[in-house]
Amino acid sequence: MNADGLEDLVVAHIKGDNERGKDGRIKRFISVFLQRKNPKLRWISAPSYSTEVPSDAVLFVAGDFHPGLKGGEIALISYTGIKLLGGRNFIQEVDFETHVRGFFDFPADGGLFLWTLAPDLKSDGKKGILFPTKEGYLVYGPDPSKGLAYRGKIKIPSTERFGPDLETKFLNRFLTYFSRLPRVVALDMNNDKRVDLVTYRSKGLATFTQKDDGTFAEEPDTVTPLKVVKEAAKKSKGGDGKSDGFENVQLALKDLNKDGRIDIVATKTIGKIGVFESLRTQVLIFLATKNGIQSDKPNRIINLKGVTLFPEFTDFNGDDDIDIVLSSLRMDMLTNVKRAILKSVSTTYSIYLFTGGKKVYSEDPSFETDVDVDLELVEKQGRVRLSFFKGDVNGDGLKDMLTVSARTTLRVVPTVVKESFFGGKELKLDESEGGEVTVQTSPNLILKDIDKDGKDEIIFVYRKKLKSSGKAPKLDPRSIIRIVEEGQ
Amino acid sequence: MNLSRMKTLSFLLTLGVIWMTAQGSVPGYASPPELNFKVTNIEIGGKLTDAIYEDLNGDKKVDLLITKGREIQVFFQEASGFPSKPNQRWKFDRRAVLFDTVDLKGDGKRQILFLAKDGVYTYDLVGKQYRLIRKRRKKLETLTRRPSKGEIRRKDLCRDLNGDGLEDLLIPEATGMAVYFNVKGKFGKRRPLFVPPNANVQPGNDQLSSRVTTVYWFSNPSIVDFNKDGRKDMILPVDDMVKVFPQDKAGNFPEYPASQVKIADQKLLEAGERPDFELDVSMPLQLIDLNNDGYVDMLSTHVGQGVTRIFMGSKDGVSAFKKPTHFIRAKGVSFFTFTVDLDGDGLLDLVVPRTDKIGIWYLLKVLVTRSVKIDALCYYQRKNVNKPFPDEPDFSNEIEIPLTFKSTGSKFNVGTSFVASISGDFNKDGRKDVLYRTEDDELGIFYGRKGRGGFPEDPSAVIKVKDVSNYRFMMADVPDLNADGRSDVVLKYYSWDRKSDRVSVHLSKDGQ
Repeated sequence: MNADGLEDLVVAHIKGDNERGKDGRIKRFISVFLQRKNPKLRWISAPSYSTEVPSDAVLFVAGDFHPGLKGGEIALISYTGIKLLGGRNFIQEVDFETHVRGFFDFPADGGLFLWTLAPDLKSDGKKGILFPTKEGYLVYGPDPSKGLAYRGKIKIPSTERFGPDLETKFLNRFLTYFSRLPRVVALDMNNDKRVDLVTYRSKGLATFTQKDDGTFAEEPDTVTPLKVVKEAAKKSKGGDGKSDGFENVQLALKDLNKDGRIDIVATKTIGKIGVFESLRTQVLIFLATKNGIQSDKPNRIINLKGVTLFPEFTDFNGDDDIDIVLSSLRMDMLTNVKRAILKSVSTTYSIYLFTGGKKVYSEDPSFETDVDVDLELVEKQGRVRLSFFKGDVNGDGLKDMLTVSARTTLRVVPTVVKESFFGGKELKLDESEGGEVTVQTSPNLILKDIDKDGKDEIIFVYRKKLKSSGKAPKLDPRSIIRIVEEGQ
Repeated sequence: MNLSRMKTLSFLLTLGVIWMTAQGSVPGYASPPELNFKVTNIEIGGKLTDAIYEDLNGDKKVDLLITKGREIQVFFQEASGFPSKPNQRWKFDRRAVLFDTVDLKGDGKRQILFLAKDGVYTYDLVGKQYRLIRKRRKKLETLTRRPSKGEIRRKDLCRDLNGDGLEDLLIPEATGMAVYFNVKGKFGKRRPLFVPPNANVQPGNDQLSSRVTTVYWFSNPSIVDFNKDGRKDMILPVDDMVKVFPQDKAGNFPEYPASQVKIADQKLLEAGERPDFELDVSMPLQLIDLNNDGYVDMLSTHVGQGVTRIFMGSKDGVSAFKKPTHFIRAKGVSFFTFTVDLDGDGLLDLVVPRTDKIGIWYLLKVLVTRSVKIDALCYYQRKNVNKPFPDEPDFSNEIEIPLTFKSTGSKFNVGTSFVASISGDFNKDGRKDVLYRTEDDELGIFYGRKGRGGFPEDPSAVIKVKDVSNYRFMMADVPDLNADGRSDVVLKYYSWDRKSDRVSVHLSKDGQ
């Protein structure tokens, strides 16, 4: 934020006792925590700068938007437009402000959410903003004089619906109004070093290509039908309710082999639920060629028992290639009985290293590990994803395993390269070097090397007030962030 | 299927649970008599959105309004019952967002009113037909500016807010609601009420399947004489507050609440927070006069604890809501407390559906057994002011609800052929009877026993209906359509693909 080469923290928050304004609404604040060079005083608990957020703000995003200003700015997205905050204390209004009717009609009481659709449109280090409206997105790109400038509108209409009549009788509601707008993904689809915008519509993958002058057309430049999605929808559509087969597909876009073409990874859940049947998952990899993607012929199918969370893409072994971390939760009867007896949930994590070629990934997982987590913890945390393979906490270039295995324990197990029993080298988790950190845990965890020492820090974000229990250190109930650095 | 989807499933199940406030019994009973109804089958041929029962033409007979997607169908009741084809049907104006019916002039003839982004319009009843030329009744702005593509919903936009016998207009706005009083058949000037909607914003994530979503909901105002000054007031539960907008002598409501009280221990989710398996969250406050003493009472149900707190209203106004006067505790999880006068004594009784604590194991059990077990706990209200409800239920019964799972594209759907209602009186004895599916093509009626006797195990009578097993959801309404004092049955069949919904109207034959 202050252009000193160190990453700072920008936090949206409320105050301890839900301080309210004159209108009865909870006051919201944006605070900037500047990172200091002194390792002993790198972070202090008081923010360097803090300001109350205007009552119409719904979202925020921090980044370097304004080419004419040094350091970063904070963009506030409201239902009436965008406002940039910057200047010496990061909280003064700077040049750019636009008034347009947005997708939102009113902010959530006490909520100010992070907006991630702020892509680096020209790959020049400056961010733009996609402003959501009921008709699609307005694209704003960096502008040296005004901060941000309008670059076009892409049409992706929102859908609206209202609650059923039962809501009045059972929920005592006058009415409920739902509005949904498909997200877009920002990535360079045509390898021209400019970010394009992609969304999925009923007709297929719609791409809005960035033009030479940095603008976008209202309608998509290409729409690519995806058979894998269409077939799944077709198989499970209609019927008389007697069939209970699953065909769910989720998509990820990624240039897996770094050939400049965007590939597709589809995660397909299939099977049935029953005493003798179970759900399973297929991960289908479609590599793009110069002729596009053949979405009925995957280059690779990885079969997993049970249901899987969305794949994680990461450079696991530090060779600059994109590896895949897959997790699977078994759903068969036997496993469920075991869960009931042991009161624990076992998730299998499989790491497939990038090998290149047509198969893209290793035939078998490079390693697999089962992580048992107390069922009660999963229920209390509300999430199954409690192990993370995205952080390198010891700086050896290999991603390590972090597991939030209890409310007050974070387990860290480093990954090592060892001689294989059959010769050659293999990746392993080195349990003997593993350790535990006693800390109030949270499933909201960020792994990032924010002090640039080659080792990732662990940033816990606590959405709720912290409860002091067990061995956990007693924390100020108003603490919302805790940064765990090496040696702690 | 991820965990949040599983929790969504549990929420869907609870919606089913809401309908499970009836008593069940297993087949194997001695043949009960079959009741005779005059049946009209209406094939919707599409998506059934709403079914509304109102006397539209002022002939003292309840008529039927059905919406199929964005099409409205009018069925006037005749001496012989309902026609199987609508008397009139048309598609709403493409700008119509929500609709209601209104008797603007108080002459018994109801107009069909719709809300658009620039105002409210009506279709007027002229003779036996609605005139299909829309008439703008008021130019105004609203939060709900965009219509839903495939459907239009009826909301209670028109109601008598000031007690003058004419229906006024209540419009949702970004910062609350606006009242437009009906003055001699015309809507007057805008009078805002500052009660912002509860807003839930989800910005989504960087995945193709993700969406930006917003949900805004408004509490339903109760219109009662809260301060006993002879004028109707507006009282609203908003999150953990109860807000009172008293009507002044000039007939207006203030913009800001004149009094309000925070309800202690009313657990709310923080912005962006989703409930975890502990379900440490309260259901919206229910305001209702439980003991018929003219004072509004309040119910607050904590889901995860299964506790319903009862606040009896009194002359102390909102201060009466500072502390609960009674508690009902159901072991496990309870999503709702249903109020109904079961025994016909003029006092509202409580029916509390409960189920076991919801966890991963519970959900897996549901997925594998494809059923949910719930207990319906009945608490009859006594005239004892100090202890109107007993600690333990007077009557309870376990109900097993069969479930069907199905996925369509990226969605995971749950359905049930379960049918139940506890609002009807089929034998005209003043007590509520239970309507419950006993076979795929049969509904059992369980006559309410005298006193606090609950309901018999075996059905007292049955109704033969069209097979319900192939439909995703069933819903039963039990209005008295033909004004004979007995409940009639309107069965709504919701198909999986929403292309073949249907409605069956079963009109009772008096004297049976």
